[in-house]
Amino acid sequence: MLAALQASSGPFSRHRGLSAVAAVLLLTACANNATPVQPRTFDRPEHVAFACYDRTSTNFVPIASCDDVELDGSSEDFALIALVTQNAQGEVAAVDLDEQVVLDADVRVPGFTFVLVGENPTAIVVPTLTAKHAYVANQTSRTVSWLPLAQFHPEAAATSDLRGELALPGSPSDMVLSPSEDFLYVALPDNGTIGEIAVDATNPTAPLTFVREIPLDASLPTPVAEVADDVRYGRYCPEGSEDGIPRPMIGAPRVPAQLGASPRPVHLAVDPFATPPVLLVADANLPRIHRLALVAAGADPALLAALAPAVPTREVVVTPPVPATLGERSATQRYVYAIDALDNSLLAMEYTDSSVNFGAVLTVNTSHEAQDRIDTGTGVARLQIITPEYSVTGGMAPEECDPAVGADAEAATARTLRGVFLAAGQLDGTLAMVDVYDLDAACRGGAGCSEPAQATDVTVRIERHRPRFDNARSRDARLSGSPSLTFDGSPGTIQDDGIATTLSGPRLEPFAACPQGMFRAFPESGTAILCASADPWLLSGADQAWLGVWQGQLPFAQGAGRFDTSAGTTFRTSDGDFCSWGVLGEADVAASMLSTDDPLTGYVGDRIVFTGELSPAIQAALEAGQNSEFERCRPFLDVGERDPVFLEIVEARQGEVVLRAPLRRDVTGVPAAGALPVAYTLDDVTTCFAGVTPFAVHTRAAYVVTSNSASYLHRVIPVGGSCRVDTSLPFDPADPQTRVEGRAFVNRAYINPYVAFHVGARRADGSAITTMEGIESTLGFVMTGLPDRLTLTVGRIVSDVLLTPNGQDMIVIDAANAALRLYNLDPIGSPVLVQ
Amino acid sequence: MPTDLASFSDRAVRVASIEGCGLSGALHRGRTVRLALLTGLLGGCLSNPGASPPEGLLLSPIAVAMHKPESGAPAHLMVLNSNFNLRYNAGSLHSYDLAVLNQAIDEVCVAPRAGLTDAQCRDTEGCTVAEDCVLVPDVLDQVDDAGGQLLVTPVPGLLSGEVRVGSYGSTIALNTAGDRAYLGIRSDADITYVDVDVASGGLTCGDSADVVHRCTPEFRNVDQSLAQTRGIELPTDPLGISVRPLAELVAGETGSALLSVHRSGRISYLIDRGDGPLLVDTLTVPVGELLAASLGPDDRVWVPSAVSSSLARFGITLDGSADQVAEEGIVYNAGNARVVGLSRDGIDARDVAFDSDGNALVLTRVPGTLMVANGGLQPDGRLPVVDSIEVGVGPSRLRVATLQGHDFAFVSCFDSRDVYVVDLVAREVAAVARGMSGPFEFEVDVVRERLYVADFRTSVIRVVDLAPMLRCFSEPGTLDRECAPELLGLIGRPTTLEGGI
Repeated sequence: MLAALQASSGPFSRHRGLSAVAAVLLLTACANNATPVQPRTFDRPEHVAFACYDRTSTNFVPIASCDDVELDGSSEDFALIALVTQNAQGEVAAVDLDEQVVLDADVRVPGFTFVLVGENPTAIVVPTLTAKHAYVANQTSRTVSWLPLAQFHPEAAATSDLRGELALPGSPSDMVLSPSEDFLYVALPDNGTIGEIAVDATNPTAPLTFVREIPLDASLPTPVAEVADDVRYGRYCPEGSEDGIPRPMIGAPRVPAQLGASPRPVHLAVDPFATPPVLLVADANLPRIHRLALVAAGADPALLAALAPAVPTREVVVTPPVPATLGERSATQRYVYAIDALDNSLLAMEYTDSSVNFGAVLTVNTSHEAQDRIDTGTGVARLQIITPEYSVTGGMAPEECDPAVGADAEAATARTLRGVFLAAGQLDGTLAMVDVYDLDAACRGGAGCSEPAQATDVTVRIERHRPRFDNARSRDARLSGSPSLTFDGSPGTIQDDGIATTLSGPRLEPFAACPQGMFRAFPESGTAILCASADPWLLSGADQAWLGVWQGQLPFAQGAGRFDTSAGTTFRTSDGDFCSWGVLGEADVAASMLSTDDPLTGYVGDRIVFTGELSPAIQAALEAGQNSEFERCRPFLDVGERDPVFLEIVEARQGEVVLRAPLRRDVTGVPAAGALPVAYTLDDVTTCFAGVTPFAVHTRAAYVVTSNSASYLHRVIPVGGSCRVDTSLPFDPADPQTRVEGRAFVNRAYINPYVAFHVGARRADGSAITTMEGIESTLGFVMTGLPDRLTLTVGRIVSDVLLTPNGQDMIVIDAANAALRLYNLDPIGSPVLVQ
Repeated sequence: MPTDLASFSDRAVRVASIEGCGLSGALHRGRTVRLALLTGLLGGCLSNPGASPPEGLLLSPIAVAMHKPESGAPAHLMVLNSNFNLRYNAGSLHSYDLAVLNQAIDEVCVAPRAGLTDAQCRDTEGCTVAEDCVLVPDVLDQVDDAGGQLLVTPVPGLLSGEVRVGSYGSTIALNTAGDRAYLGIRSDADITYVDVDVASGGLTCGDSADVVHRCTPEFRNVDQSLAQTRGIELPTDPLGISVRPLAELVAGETGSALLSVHRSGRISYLIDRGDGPLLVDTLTVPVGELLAASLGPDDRVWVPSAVSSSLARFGITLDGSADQVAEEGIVYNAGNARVVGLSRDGIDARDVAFDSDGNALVLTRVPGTLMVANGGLQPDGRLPVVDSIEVGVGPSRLRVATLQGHDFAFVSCFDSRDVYVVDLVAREVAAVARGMSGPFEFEVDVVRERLYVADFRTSVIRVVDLAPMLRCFSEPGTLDRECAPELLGLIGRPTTLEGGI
């Protein structure tokens, strides 16, 4: 308990010592003041639906009556009411968004009283055409509640409508209303079915009737292979800057994967633009998005083929028609977005009927990681399409912003949301925005990318299916200061010519030209010493710190193991998998049959560093005198003072490595003449570290390159249990996206998808550095000025996000603050919190 | 209102080390002595040995534990009382007879309410609503019934055993046989062990189980003789203890191997062959402040940290392939598990557990969720989050239990004062047990389908029935039924913690 209480620092934590003790005594001896309890309003709010209340007639009315309501805190004739499910209590709360107050359903009871529904409400729906009931799906209770709207406003006139419940054959995870408002559909995951419920809003006592369970098809559709399409929606300033941005590489569709054998519908979305409308169903078991045509008689699961995302999905949403390119108004393109149930990644699918790519998962990303996923930075948990100020009339989208109209151009900013956007609630408690169609794109950066209305709006990057950038920038990413290089204990700074100020260490060699898709990050002018990716989505967000450590530890590669007593050169561990850690022995590199231009060709293999103390028995023997059989172990006795104890890895397998005594090596790893780098033998190590002993894996004659933003890069996989370089991955020495490397070698250019540098084998005076045995060296630099992505920090996973019916404001449920956030989108700024 | 009294308790624990001015062995550290003397002066109690806690009184219960036999229902519930506000000169360990408890709950609290609404129950003689139905051990006399608002029922045989231990207890861990309890006691800066009679629930730590006694120093201090030869000592502030059979490390050995995590970011390895814990090895952990210890399916101990997105993993093993001796064991860093896919800025993890499929479950406060890592630790040390389920505010402790063949996670939420039940198949909240004041530690009795929740704020144990929720899971939807776990009654008279939290 105290642990839980202690870890969060409170105001007490900043005061120490005597006064605290006195305070404790005073509190414990004298005080008897109970903590005042704040009356609870929201309690785990999750889902929202809207209703419209007529203050004059004191009746609820169709939602269109609230189209002109401005949510500015002032009272108007009509009030937009948000109905918010409270999952902790099994209730529905009402919020007057117009006056921005929570409504008390029963003023006779102290505190806020909300309307009781069933256990764990998972969805709420209010028909827009009628103003009779709200419908709530209750997961644990396995019911749908119908609630007269008049219950939700303390001043509403009484009606003849009664509340009630409908029993379901399973637990509903989601519920939607058909566009005709004749049917409710509930997803019943455990049953593998969709429940169809007939709605008769005119019935005051029993508006709902369960019709049937609709079974879903369990067959696996074949994924559609994407073909190249020249249609590209985007806006880039300065003009031509998009030419330097790497393009995604279209690959074959994924092999279908599934998490179960039977359908598991978990999330529903209605496409009202199709004729007839379509119910899209995310399936958490099967790699198919079911499509049910919503005809007059109900849902027909046989009319339409399922989509084939190749993975099970958690949520699915669909866009309205949008123009194909900037400058067009004809809204022809449709897209589906879904959450991959395997890893919470976000995928985009072509949903334009006429497209050759209809149903294909689109290639949307340019990093070395999955190119068929939108890189939002972390896992996604909720999706919603928002369409502020966007509508389709006669097949046409609204007019785009005109740079010639000053007021419109000035209003066009990165934070102004007008158009179609994907809002993605992420696992880290943020809400990310993805560009689909921006009505203001034409005004960003100014006409012809000159003289922007916002002076700093110079660098513009807007691309469909890509995370939206937040801030306007007047210049690109750059290096923060200069790279640092420490060498043999001397800290130094790399100068514009690549030479360290200490003069003693290796110099950074210049690039004749940065690798393709990269720009010169250092120095600011002249010959490039350090290059970085020009892909703003790859290099975005917080500053990226890169560190290269000479013969450093591979991240995660540590544990404890022991030598095989029958084969003293084999060392085994059960704490991990050497191949997954990226470990290679010299023989593994040779066996991988790499091309001569592969940067790993000729690598001499990693090494095991023994990090533990000698066993107590050996320590005791050494402390007892100098005559024990373990006297050879004395150099290893003081773990803090001894030189690193290591052996070279000849072969690496998933759970073991074959080791040998270190050889003296030159800076490139080639065996060199001269004294051995260590004074011990293999036999000394196997004798002195005979039992289970801690270890870590380090590189040999190479820098380990890591960053604070990317995982450790390597291409090692197990093949028949042995660690091998994965030669099935595309590798093009000229393409940084294919250079998934975590080791930088001296005298060879190091290129990964993010950065590139070249550590030379010569000093400032041109003299050769022959060996770096026993030397400690680190290279570090920080990329700064990276574009920020537009994200809203909520603190917890966003449970619901939606626009108000008139599209002017965005509602985000903020469970962390037990509040409803109300955002104006023009531009998006600080929200109003309603609690 | 934030409830984290972090440094309040941190400072108070130093005060507690003198246990109500009865200067104990903890006074060997100079700083503590000065603080203790100063505290005594301020409190005006230098000559006052302090009052012993009344027998059977719950005092800010901080931890619970229950031995789960391979078959049949658990017999006893251990409750560690922290004496958080230092009202008395000691904390205590209680052992409650669960058969007696549940029979009394059914007869005194549940049966009279059958078929009645709360309002009807209040108007019926002998009937009371769950939150007012109080069972107390019959050794506790003169229990105030709040002017008749509470139905207080002394229950003979409810309390099977009681011993006095240091204040500011933090955790309980039972050995595999359930006949020894290890307690983290922060005021002692040490680990206390107590022997448990599995049949009767009697407790001993230096005297007969027939009398309530204070644990003797032999039971309150681990043996550090071996540690001295290694130049190490037991770190302070033990917050979590994980116990496994010693035979898992050394074939044929009897006894237990313990890993204790300490708030200072250290971890200690102890062995107990029956004559008390012996400190063998310690290790400093790079991830900082440590809060709990859970044994994973990989036989490593997983330790969440309040300040890092990495979960530390530790192994205990022996150094010497022949003539294996437990005393030669080491605790080593088995590699961190890095939580990925959640946040770039770290998490505040409070507990770790594993479902029956081996998926790792991580309970975090920022964001306040139960995270599910599909398949547990990846070979490269990453813990990919595949789902994240919102729970209440101030999530504190996590338990996984299989009820009627279905995996559930239970999460106590101290700040929102409830216990969330998460369906681990659907990865959705199944229900919320409400009506508590300060739920922290709890145990799930899968046989009786009940929860025993230590309510720190009001010094009671709340008994919660899971049957309503399970019925909703196993049966199709029916109308007008309650699916939330139902509070049945309490052990102990609700008492607000003086000073408040």
